[in-house]
Amino acid sequence: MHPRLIAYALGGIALLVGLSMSTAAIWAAIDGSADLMPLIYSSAVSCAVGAGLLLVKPKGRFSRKDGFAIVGLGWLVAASLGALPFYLSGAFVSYTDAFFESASGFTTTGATVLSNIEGLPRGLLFWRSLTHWLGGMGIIVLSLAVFSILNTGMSLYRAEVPGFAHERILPRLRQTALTLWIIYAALSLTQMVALRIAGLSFFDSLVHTFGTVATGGFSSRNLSIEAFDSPAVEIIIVVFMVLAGLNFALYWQIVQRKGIRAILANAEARLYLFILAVASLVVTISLVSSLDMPLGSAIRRSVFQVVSINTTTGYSSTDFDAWPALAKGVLLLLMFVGACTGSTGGAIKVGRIMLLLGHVRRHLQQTVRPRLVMRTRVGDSVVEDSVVSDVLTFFFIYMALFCFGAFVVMADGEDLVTSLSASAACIGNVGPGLGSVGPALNYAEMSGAVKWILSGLMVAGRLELLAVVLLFTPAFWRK
Amino acid sequence: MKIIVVGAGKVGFNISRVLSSEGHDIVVVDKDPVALQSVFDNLDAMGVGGNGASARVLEQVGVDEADMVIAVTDNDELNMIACMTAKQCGVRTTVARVRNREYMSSQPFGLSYTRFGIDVMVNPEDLAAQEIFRLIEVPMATDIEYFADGRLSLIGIKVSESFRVAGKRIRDMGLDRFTVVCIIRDGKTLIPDGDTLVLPDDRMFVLGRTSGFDSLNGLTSLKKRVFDRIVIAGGGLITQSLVEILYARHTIPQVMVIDPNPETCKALAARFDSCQVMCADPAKMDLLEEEGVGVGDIFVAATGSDNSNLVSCMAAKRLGVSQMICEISREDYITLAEAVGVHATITPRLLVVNTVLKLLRSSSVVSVNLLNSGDAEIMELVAEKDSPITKGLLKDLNIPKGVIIGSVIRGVTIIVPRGDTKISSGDHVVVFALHSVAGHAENLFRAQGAGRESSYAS
Repeated sequence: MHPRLIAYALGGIALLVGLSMSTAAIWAAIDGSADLMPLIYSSAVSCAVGAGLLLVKPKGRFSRKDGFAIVGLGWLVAASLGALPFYLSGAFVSYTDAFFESASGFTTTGATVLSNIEGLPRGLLFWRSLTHWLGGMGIIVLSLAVFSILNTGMSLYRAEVPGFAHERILPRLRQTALTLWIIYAALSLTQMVALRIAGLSFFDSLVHTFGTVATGGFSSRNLSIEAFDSPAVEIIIVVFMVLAGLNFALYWQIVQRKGIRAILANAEARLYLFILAVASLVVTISLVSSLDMPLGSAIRRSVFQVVSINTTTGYSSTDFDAWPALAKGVLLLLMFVGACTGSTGGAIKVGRIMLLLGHVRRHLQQTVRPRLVMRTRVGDSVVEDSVVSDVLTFFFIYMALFCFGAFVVMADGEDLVTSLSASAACIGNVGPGLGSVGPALNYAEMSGAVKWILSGLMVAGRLELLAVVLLFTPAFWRK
Repeated sequence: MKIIVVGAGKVGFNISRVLSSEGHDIVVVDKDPVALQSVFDNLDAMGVGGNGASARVLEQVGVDEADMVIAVTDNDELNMIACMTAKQCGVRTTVARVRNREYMSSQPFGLSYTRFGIDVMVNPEDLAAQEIFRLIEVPMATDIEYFADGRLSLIGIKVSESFRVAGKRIRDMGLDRFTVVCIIRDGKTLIPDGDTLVLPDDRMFVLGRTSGFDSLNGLTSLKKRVFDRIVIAGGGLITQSLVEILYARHTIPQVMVIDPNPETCKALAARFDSCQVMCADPAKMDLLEEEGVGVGDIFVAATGSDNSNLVSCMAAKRLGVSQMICEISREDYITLAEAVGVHATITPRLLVVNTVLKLLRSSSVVSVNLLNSGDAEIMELVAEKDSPITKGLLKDLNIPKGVIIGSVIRGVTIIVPRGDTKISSGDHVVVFALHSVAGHAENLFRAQGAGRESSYAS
């Protein structure tokens, strides 16, 4: 472990956060609202911290351990600094609440402690959504694109980008990072224009684009997407949620002469779309049969909600907590599934689930015929056994942390549905859950300790567990 | 013709032997003095020590005067470089033995090895796999060759005592639509006529319409069986090619591969998803029994080792497998394999020799195949204008002994030739000939004055 190297890298991240924050101050300045000074102070503090750390001369050769430490600590630093404007503005009752909101933003979770979002000035609202956008493609990937000093290997990239089979799309890591951000920015720009055409204000288009392409879920409205009551807006957001849930490497393949077929040629993408279709169908049937909802609106509500939850975005177009048990059950299950590997979405991800299913099938056959040689596959590609073991470990830690989170919420006095869904929604970076943390309510009622633990789960879930879990193992810090 | 053969291994030796006996001037180049020594001792050919891919060595053996370079060492890259070098020295035809399919598959960017100077790539394992596939398709055959774009086939059948034809004269068999072109008895090739008796254990080669071969089943009392599964011992290159061919079909059969090497198994399992790969010794009886290997299966032994192949075939035989195809590289083991009950043997090396020979034949030869380790040839020839064969009825022509006119393909019709058949120019004719008279047979189909290479006049 090389503290100077880590400090230097963290400095870069802090500086990036500080600079981004200053763009939020522009909105505050335009509006002349009270959040201007808190934003400027926070931005200044972040930049100062960043610049200070960047003065440290990096020493030593970059190791895997450094990579995990930079990613794990980097996200904690980003969330801590990102919470400053929320706290300083007084809009949040405590630093705990401010940190929860900031962590929820950066991790693209979209869980909030605010009951009156519309009461927040535009500067803070913008910053809140910008954290989504920064966190969606990853602050580390962004710093890789910006700071050449960090271009030392895949370990940083691997620790932050979701998935288990990381491929560079270009020979140089910096080019890879930059390309991913360009694709991400292009997708965002397209959606923003679409939303603007659909009638949203520039500010609302921006906020909801950030919330969608990052699969975040922060809105500028108390009622989330329901507030607009516009089929056009819902369709645009559904489409871009689906797109954001695809592996971004596929977009690179599309650009690289392979065309739109690249998506259908990808087994994970096919299963992802299939899951969305089947889940929408089941929820529609449930809504029509139990609530006597007209078919048209049942389809509209179910597709939006299924896509929103499965991509781990967390926007709501209706209060789905009032839905029948079957529909809610499907949504709860989808919170674990998540989108594709290499997307901005959270949770376990379709690719890992495919891998685990294939592995179970293989294991069952080999139990009866021990000499049979089989390989675990995801689609057509063969996965090495070491990767299978990684994924099995990931799955176990994920479920263990989910249980831990659920018990903590239960110990705080919440009911079973609330506890389970709150834990699943936080570690899966979904945002709203069911019961007391349903789309119409928020996480404000939880006690401070629970908020810290849930914030931790969000960061752990976003970084695919390892980088965060390692920070809490003593062996990691030993020399 | 002057031919340089690079590599004095088994393939190189056999090619040299056949070509030298046909009168070509052969120079064999090899690094290994021991291998060269056996060329000196057994063949009428020149042997030169050195690296056949080296321009200096090629110059030394007179590459500028050579018509053909055949590079058949064990090393793909050496073979390829030898061809590329030779081509630049002005050799007309270059042939490389290439075992790695990566080099052979269709290349991106329209890349072609011909442009680099390699005219033909011959892959023994690929050829063996294709041969095995044909045998699987026609389970009663010990050999199978197609002519006239597949409309005609030559099928080898091992006669057993239970056959209706066993012990009969050929004229009494009622084979109106087929021609028995040759019989292999005790390793000797016989040219049958109507009076020849067919005995049990004979290998009988029958030429006829591909579509008509179902009616041969009654003759041999072999039922055309539907096979449950193809069990392949060994996971080497032959197996990989074979599984690829099998999976390219519309109805994918169930395939099981048994190989003792875990890494080979893992690679196979990675490449072929629905193929069952077992990591075990293929001769292990309890494994075969546990997996239910038996009557319904075709057993293919392609481990690369003759001993393992024979033993695993014996094991399969014990479990009731009746269709066994065995890869054998030592020719003296072929009879041994037959004794064990193997119904067809494959010798990849011989297939390479076959392929190379085809290249040497002139344009009037559509295809050629060797039977019984090169004792006899079966060729598809085109009758040229004014060639001797068109000069009269077959019974009036002076066709040498050892040559059989098998089938005549005239446009879309296929004629079973009789004494009063007359061949016209442009007909494709399947001709069977003992090796000693193969040149004569070919000359019969050539326009006068343009005989086969002078060396054939014997």
